[in-house]
Amino acid sequence: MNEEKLINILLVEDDEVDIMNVQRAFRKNNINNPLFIARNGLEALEMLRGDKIPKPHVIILDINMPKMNGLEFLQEMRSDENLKRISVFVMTTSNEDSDKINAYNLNVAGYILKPLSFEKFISSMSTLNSYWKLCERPSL
Amino acid sequence: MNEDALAQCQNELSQEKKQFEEFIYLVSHDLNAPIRAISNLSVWIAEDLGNDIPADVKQHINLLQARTQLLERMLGAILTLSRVARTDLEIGYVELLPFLEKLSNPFRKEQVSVSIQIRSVVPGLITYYQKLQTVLSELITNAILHTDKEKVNIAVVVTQTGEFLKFEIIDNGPGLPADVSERIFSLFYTAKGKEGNQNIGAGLTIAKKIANFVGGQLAVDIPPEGLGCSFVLYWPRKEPEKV
Repeated sequence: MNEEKLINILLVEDDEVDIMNVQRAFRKNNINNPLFIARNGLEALEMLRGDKIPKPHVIILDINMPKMNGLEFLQEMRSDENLKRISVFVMTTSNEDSDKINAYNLNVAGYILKPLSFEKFISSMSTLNSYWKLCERPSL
Repeated sequence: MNEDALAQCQNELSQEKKQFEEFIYLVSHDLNAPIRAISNLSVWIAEDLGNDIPADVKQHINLLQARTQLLERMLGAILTLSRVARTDLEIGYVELLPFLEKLSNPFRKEQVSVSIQIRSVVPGLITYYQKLQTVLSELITNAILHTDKEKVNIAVVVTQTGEFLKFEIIDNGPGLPADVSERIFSLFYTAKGKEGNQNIGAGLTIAKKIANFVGGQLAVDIPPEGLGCSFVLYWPRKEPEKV
């Protein structure tokens, strides 16, 4: 049997319904990758620097969050030797150019607007999953 | 009022306007998140209940979803309005005949019953071409939306008057009673009800806002009953200054 490597994913998102949105879209697409959740940037940093969860290969990141927002989190992450190479996908409602520029300056792998309909969200998640599977990652 | 005081007033006014537009933008943007949540939750409830649900529950869920979509589109329109001064600011040369043909083609393709005739005595101008395109598209959309004929005839006629180009968009629809000629530009005003209707009543509001932004004007001519509608758009010929 062809055993697929599991890709660990950390979702950094403060809105409960948006979290359910991702979980539900994963189920719909039969995505079985472990999904860990942090409710803001600070919580995400703690999880990444602690050892309670395996190191994620991919981070899905909201921008507007309390305590530490997505861009502040990115800045912190990219200056951390142990964390800086993790792929980050921004998923937000912000259609502002300034947010897009700041995010890409911090080397995000993609900037995705949260689609209005759940149907579209399911297909976006499926596309992302195919892309994640396609990418090679270092073993550590 | 002396000139200094006037200049100061104008400065304050433009500051206020800017702040107001930022406020509208933030509000409509932030309201999107809870609306999206309601929309998603109603889809999930329907999914989880499966097919075996009473007809009235099903109907209520459908109504809930339709209203949420309506709300989303209304907020989208408010967002668009608040961004008129900030988006589509590219300036370029517009060769009018090909520009108008290109803009008309999607409408002709979508509905074979739509015929659009174009006449222009002016070759072209340098302007905010995306904005001009939005305004004219909204006016054509509006003519098609309100037609009562099987065959929709629209004429787009461009002439020149002084500092302005005059675009007339004339249709063969039912026309308008004189008493609504101002109201049709109000946000969310619709001639037909919003029920089961894709139209939310924002297109003409956006068109007029853009016309004002570029220093032009948009108005409707009321022809005699039964002779259709004619929108008149005055668009400055002068090349806009780069911001």
